[in-house]
Amino acid sequence: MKVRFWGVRGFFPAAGADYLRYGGNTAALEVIADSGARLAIDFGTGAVGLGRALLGAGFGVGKGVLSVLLSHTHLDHTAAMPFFVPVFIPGNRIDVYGAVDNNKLHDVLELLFDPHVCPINSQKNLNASITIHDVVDGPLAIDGFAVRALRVPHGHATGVVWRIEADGKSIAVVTAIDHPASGPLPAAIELAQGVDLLLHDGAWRSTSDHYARRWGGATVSTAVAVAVRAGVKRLMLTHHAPQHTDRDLDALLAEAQALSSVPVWSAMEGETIEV
Amino acid sequence: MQAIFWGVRGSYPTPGPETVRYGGNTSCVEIASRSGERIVIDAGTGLARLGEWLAQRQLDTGRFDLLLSHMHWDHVQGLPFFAPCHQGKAQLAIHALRPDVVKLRDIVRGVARHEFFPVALDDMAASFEFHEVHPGRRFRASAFAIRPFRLNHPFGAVGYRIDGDNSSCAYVCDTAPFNLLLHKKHFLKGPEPLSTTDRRQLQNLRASLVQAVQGCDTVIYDTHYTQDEYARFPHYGHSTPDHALDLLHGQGVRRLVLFHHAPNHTDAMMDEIDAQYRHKGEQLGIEVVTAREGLALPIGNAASSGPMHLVAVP
Repeated sequence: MKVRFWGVRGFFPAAGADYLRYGGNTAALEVIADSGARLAIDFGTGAVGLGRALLGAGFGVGKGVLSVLLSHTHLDHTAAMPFFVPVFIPGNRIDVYGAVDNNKLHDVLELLFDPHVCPINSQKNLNASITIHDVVDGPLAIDGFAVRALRVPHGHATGVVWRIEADGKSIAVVTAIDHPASGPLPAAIELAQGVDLLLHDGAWRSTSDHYARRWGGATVSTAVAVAVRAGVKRLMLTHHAPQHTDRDLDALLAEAQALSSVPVWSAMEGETIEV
Repeated sequence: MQAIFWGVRGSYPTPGPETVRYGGNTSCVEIASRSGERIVIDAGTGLARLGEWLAQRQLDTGRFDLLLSHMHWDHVQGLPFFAPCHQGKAQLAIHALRPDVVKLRDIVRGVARHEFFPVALDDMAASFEFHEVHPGRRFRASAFAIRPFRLNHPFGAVGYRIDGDNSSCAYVCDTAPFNLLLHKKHFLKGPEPLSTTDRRQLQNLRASLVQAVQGCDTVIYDTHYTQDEYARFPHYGHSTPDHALDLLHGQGVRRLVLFHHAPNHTDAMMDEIDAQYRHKGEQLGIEVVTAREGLALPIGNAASSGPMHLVAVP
C-alpha cells in the first residue's frame, strides 16, 4: 500500500517562496493498494492536482471509480471539490464519505456550490455520478480496502478519523480532532492501535499559540502522545500551519523527534511513501 | 495613493514553485492613501497575508472598510483568517452587492459557517457592519470616494472606481466581456441566445463601465484567460487582456493592470502574457502592468506615492 501526499497544509493554503519544500496546498491524500484499488482523503486544494493526475487513469474518459473520505467539512478539506476535474466528466462514479452534526453531509456540501459563492450553483450540475454518504462509527465497505470510521469532536464541527487497511498494512488518519485537555482521546488511540503509519495533525508547538487558541488543531506533543500510546510504527505530522515556513517546520519536526520514542516524519507535498 | 496586491489569482489558490513569482493567493487588493488610510477590495486568501503583515507591525486597524466585488469563494475565503477579525477593537465594515431578497449579513454569515471554518462569524471578536452597495450610487469609504458599477458575472458582481489623493483607480473584477452572453441568476452550460432585452442590458452594462473608468489613472481588470482559453470557456464570467484593452482604449486611462490570473497560468506563461500585452498596450498608448503578489503600485503622481516596488509578503 502506498500513500501520496497531494496537500499537507491546514487552515488555508500557504503560497510563497518560504513554503515550497513542504508545499502549500491544503489537505489531500491518495492511498493506493497493491491491487491498484485507490481511495482519496479530503478535497483540500491539493485535490486539484490529484484530479488532473487521475484523468490519465480512466477518469478522463468517464470510466473512473473513486471513494473519497472526508475528515470534516472545513474548507481546507473540501474547497477543491468544485475544482476536482473528474466530477465534471460523465460516467465517473465518485462516492464521498463523511459526517456532519445533522447527518446531512449532502446538504452541507451543497452549500459549497451555492450560487452566491460558486458559479456551479448546485451539485446537480456536476456530470459525474456522485453519491454522498453519512457515516457512523464502524467498518465501511470500500472495494479493495478495510476502512473503519470514528466520529470525534472538532471545534463546532464533527470530525471523522479513519483507519485504512490493505495488503496486510494499516494507516490511521487523525487530522480533525480535539483531544480532551486530560490527554489523547481513548477511542482515537484504540482506532490507531498498532498501525504502520499514523498521520496526525501536528500544526502547533503549544496550545497557547496565538492561532491554536483561535483556530483549534493539535500540538506536536499531542500527536506524539497518540503515536506512543497507540504503539504505532511510524508517525507522520501533517496539517501544517500556513504561518510555518519550511524552516519552522524543520524545527518543529526536530522537536517532535526529540520527544518521541517512535520514528517521526513530517509530510511533504508531492511525496509518495510505501507503507 | 497606492494599490498593494496581496492576492492576484482567480478561482482557487495555487501554491507551488511554478507560481511563486506572480503569486498563488486569491484576490485581495489594498488601496492606501498618502496619509495612511486604507480600504481593501475582496477577501481572497491574500487577505490573510495582509492580516499577518498588519499584525507583525502591530498596526491598529480600528475601522476597516472591505469592499467585495461578489461572494464567490476566491473573493471571500480569506475573511475568517484575517487577523483583525479576531481583535476586539477592530470594526469591519463590509460593503457588497446584496442579491435580491437575501440579506448581506446572512450571506456573509453563511460563508463563514462553522462547517467551513474553525471560527464562525458570530464568534469573532471584531464587530461587523454590513452595507449594501447600489450600483450607480456613490459612497465614501475611509478617505476615498467610491463609485460602484455592475459587471457581467454569474449571480452578479460589482466593480468600483476609487478617487482619492487627486487621482483615481478602478477595480473591474470579475467580469465577462459585454457582447457574447449575459450572466443572470441561473447556471449557464454554455452561451445562450440573447434576446433584444439582453442585448440592451449588455450595452447598458458596458456603457456604465466605460463611463466609470473615464480618465482613470489605473484600471485593475479581470484578465483571467488567454484568448484560446476564453474561446473554450466563454460562459465562466471572465475576460482576456484583449477585452480589457478594447474596452479601455480611448477612455483616457493611463494604465491597465492584468489581474485575477487563471490558476493554470504558471510564471512562465505569465511572463509571456506580460510581454505580449505590454507591447500591445504601448501601441494603444496604455501602460500594461501584470499584477503580482506584493506589488505596491503608485497611482497617479509617483512622486507623491513612491516608486513601484514589492513589499515583503509574510
